Amino acid sequence: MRNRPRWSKVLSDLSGNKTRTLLVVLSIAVGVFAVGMVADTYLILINSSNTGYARINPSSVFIIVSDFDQELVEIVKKLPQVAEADGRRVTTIRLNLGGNWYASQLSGRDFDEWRLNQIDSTGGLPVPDDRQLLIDQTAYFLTDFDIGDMAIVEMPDGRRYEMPVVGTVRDLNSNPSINSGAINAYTTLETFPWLGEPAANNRLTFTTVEKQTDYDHILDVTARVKDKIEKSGWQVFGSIIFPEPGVSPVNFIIEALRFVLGVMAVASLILSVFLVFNTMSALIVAQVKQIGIMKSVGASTLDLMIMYLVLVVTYGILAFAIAVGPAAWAAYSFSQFIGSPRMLDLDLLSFQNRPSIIALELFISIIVPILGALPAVYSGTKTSVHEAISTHGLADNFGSNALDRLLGHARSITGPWILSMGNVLRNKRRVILTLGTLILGGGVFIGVISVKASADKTVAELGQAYRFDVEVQFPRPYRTEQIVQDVLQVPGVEAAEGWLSIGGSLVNKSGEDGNTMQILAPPPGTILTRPKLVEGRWLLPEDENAIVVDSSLLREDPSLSVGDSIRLKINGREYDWTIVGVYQFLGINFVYVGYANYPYVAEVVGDPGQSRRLQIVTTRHDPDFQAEMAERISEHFKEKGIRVSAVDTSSALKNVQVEQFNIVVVVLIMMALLISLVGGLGLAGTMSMSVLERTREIGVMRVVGAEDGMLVRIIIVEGLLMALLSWVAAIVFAWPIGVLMSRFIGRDLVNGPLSYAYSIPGAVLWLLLVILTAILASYMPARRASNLAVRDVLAYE
Amino acid sequence: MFLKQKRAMHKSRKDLHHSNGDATSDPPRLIDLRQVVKTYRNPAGDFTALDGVNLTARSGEFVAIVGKSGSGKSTLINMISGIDHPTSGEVWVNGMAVHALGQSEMAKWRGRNLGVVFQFFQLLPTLTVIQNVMLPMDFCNTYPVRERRERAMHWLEHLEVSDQANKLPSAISGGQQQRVAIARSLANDPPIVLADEPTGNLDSATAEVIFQMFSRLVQEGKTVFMVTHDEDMASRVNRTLTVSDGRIVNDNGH
Repeated sequence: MRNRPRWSKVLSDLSGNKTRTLLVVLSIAVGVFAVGMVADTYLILINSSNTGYARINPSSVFIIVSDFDQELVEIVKKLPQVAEADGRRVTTIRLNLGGNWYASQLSGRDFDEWRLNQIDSTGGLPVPDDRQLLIDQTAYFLTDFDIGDMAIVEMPDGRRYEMPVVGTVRDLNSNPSINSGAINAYTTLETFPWLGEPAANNRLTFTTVEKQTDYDHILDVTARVKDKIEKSGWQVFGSIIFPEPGVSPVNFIIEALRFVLGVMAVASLILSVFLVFNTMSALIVAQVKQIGIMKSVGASTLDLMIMYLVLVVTYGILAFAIAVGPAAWAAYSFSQFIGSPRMLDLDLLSFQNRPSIIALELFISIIVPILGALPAVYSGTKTSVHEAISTHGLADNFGSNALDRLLGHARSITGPWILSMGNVLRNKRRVILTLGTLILGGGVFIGVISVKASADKTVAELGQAYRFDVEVQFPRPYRTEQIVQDVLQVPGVEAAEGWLSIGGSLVNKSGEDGNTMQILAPPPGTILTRPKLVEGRWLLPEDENAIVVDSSLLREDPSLSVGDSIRLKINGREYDWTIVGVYQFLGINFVYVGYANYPYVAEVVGDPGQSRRLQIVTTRHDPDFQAEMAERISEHFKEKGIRVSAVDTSSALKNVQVEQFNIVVVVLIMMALLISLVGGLGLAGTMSMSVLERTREIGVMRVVGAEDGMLVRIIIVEGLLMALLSWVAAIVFAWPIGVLMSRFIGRDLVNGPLSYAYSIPGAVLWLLLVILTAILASYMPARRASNLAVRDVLAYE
Repeated sequence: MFLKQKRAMHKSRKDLHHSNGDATSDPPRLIDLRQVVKTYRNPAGDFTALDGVNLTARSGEFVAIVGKSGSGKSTLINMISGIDHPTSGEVWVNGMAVHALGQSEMAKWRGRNLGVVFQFFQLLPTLTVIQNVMLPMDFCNTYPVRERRERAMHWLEHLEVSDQANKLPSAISGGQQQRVAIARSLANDPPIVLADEPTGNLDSATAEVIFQMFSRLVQEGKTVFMVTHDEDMASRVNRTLTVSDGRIVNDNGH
C-alpha cells in the first residue's frame, strides 16, 4: 500500500468524506438487513414449525366414532396401511377461565398410551391427575390466567365442575386460539365419569405406513379404516382430514408472512441499488477531474474501474459488518414474537448462526453496491482526459433540450424560484434516480398502508357473517318458538332467530366418505348473516337443496364450481346439494361450513319447527354489552332447564379475525417504516450532493447579490419540488402495488383477494413524510453552502 | 500488446524511417504533426480550433507556444499529449502514432513517454506529495515496487521540495505544488515534458523559479513544450511558435 498510491487514494476516499461513506454504507446495509432478516425469519419460523410438528408424531386425520376403547385402536393398527393409531375423547364444553366463558374442546387422553399428536409441557405439571386440567397456552391470546387458577367446566348437560389448571401445554396439531377463538383443554380419560360422560374414546386418529403427505392416499386409507370400524361393530359419524397432511396447520400464516416480508426485502434491495447508484454517480462526478489527472499520468479505464469498484465493495463489506448482527437479532426477535403463545405458538429453535444466511448477506453486500455503482463507474471512468479537465466555468449543456427551454417560457415564475426548478432538471439522470427511489418508496409505503386498509375492509365485510350480537348453540334441537319466546324475556334482547345446524360427510365421486361438513340453516331471507361472497349468489327464499360453501372447499377441490353438485351423507343417508355461491373464509378450516335454507334442512333432518342455534339481536351492540348479555342469556336458559353448549358474541368472533391479520399488519407497518427510512436517506443524499456540485455556482450567486436566506430557500424549494413531483407519481404507482399485495396476502390468509381499499390517509402521511424529509435533508447542506466564503467557493475545484 | 498499438508501432517504424531523412547529423525528430485539424461541435455551432497544423520538433528543444486566448495553443499541446484527438491529420510522438491509439492504450503510453504539467497543478488532493509523484509509476507499473519511493524522492529533491514529501497538497504553496506536479511528470523519466500555462497561476518570482526548472530539464536532455502568455519567458526559450486562429503563424526556430 505504501508504494501503491492508487490504493491510498481508495482508502482516503473511504475515510475522507465520512458523510458520504455513511450514506452509502447505510444504503447498502438497509438492503442487507432487510434480506437477511426476512430470509432468516422465514427459515426460523418454517424450520421451527416443521421440526416441531414432525417431532409430535402428527396425524392428519380424525375419525369421529361411537364410544370405543383400546380394543378398536388395536384392530385399526392391524390394518396393513396403518402405521400407528390412537384414541381420545373430545367433548365440546364451555370453560370459564380468567373470569370469562369461552367455547372449548376438552380432550381426554390416556397419558400412558399416547402415541400420536404429542403435546409438550410448557409449564406446571406435564401430566394431570384425574379432575385436573392442562390448558393449551395459545389460550393466552384470549385471556390471562395462571397455573393454579380454578377453571369451571360446563358440560353439554349444563352441569358445572371446578377443575384446577395444573399446567400449560403446546399442542401443535390443534386449532390455536388465535384461529378458533376457543380454548383447548386436556384431562385424563378417567375424569370423564366424574363429568357425567363415559371414560371412552370417541375420536380415532392414525398415521399411514406410506405417503403420509398424500391427501388422496390418506382419503383412501380413511375409507378403509372407517369400513373396518363399522364392520367391527362401532358407528362412524364423520371424519376430518387436514387439507395439507403432514404440514403444520399454522404454516399458511407463515407463507403469508413470507410473501409480505419478501416484498419488503425486494423493495429495500431495489431502493438500495438506486441509492448506491445516486451516491456513486455524485462521487464520480465530483472526481471527474481526478479521473482525468490519473488518466493523464497513465491510468487506463480498467485501472480506474477496478479502483472504484474496490471502493464500492469495501462499502459493501462495511455494510455487511453493520447489518449482519442486527439482522440476526431482528429475525430472532420477530420470530419470538410470531412464535409466541399469543400468536402461532411455535416450538422455536434456539438462536443459531445460519451460514447460508450469512453467505446470502455477504453476497448481497457485494452485489448490491456493484450493481448500483457499475453504470456510474463505467460511464465516469470512460471520460476522456480532455473532457475531465477542461471544465472551468459554470456553463454546461443545460438548455439543450425542449424541457429545459420550456422552463425559459415560464415567465410567471420569477427569479430564484425558477433557479430551483431549473436546478431540479439540470442533472436529469440523478433526478430520475432520486425520483425513482422516492416514487418506489412512496408507492410501496402507500401500497402497504392500503393493504392495511384493505385488511380492515375485508374483516368488516367478513364480519357481515355475524350480524347478530349473541349466538347460542344447543346440544340438541329445541322447538324454535319456545326458545325464541324464552330469550325475548331477557331484558336487552331485541330480536331472535332460530337456526338449524347439521353435520355430515362429503361423499366423493367414488362413493367414499370424505371430510366433515357442517351446514348452518338460517330462515330464508335472514338478515342476520351475509357472508362475503366471492362467487355466485346468496340463498334465495325459494331455494331448496341449494348450498353456499366456504372458499376453502373449492381451494382443496378446484374442480368444483358454482352450479356443481356435492353429495353429503347425513344421518346415514346421502343428499345432493347444488352449489349456488361461495363465501370467503378467514384462516384454516378443519371442518367445512356451508349455508342452506332452513325449511329444506329441517325436512332432511326431520326437525321441522326446531332449532339448534339462536341468533340474537340485543338493544346495544358494543362488545361489553354483548358479553354481559351472553352471560345473562346463558343463565336464563339454565334456569329454564334448557341446556346450552356454547354462547358467543359477534364481537369476540370478529376479534379473532382481526387478530389474525394483526401479524401481517405488524409486518406491513415495519415495512412501511423501513421504506420511508430508505426514501429519506435517498433524498438527503441527493440534496447534499446537489449542493456540493454547485458550490462554485452558489459563490457566483452570492457575488451577484443573493443573500444567505435566499440561497437556503432556493435549495429547500428544490428539495420540496422533488418531493412533490415524486409524491404525485407515487400516489398513482401505489395503486397497482397495493392491489397486487392484497391479492397475494388474501390468497394465503382468506382464500381469496382482499377487498381493496386505497388509503387516502396513507397518501397524505407519505406527503407529510417527504415534505419533512425534503426540508430536513435540504436545510443542512443549504446552511453549509451559504456559510462558505465567496473566495473559497469560487476557487473550489 | 493491443492490435491497434501494434499497427501504430508498425506504421511508425515504417514512416519514421522515411521521416527522419538525414538522420546522421540532426537529433531525432521527436514530434511530428501532419495537417492536424481539430473541430469542436457544440450547440452554439462548429468551432475549428486547429486548422491544418504542421509541426516537427526534435529532441532537446525548449519550445514556447504563444498566442491570444482561443488561438488554439492548448488544443495544440493536447494533440501532442493525446489528451485530445485530431478530427483529421496525424500526430506522431516519439515514433508512436498517437492519433491512432485508443484511450486506454494512450493512457499507458502517455504515462511512460510523456510528462504533463497543468496550469492548476492538478494534484490528487487526498494523496501526499510523494504519493502523487509515485502515481505514474503505479499506473504504468514501471520500476520495482520497493524502488518507487526512492525514485520519487529523487525527483522531489531535484525540484527542491523533498521536505514537503509527506504533506497534502493543500498544506503547501502554489509554487511548491507546481514543482511537485513537475516531479510527477518526470516520475517515469519520459523524454518529453508538456506544460500548459505552468506559471499562469503563480506570482512572478515563483514563475521564474519554475521556468528555471524547465530550463534545467532541457539542459539535462529533456524536450519541453510550454504554452505561455508570458512574453518574457517566450523570448528566453530556443524556439517560439506563435498560434493564431488555429494556425502556426510564426515559428522562429525554423
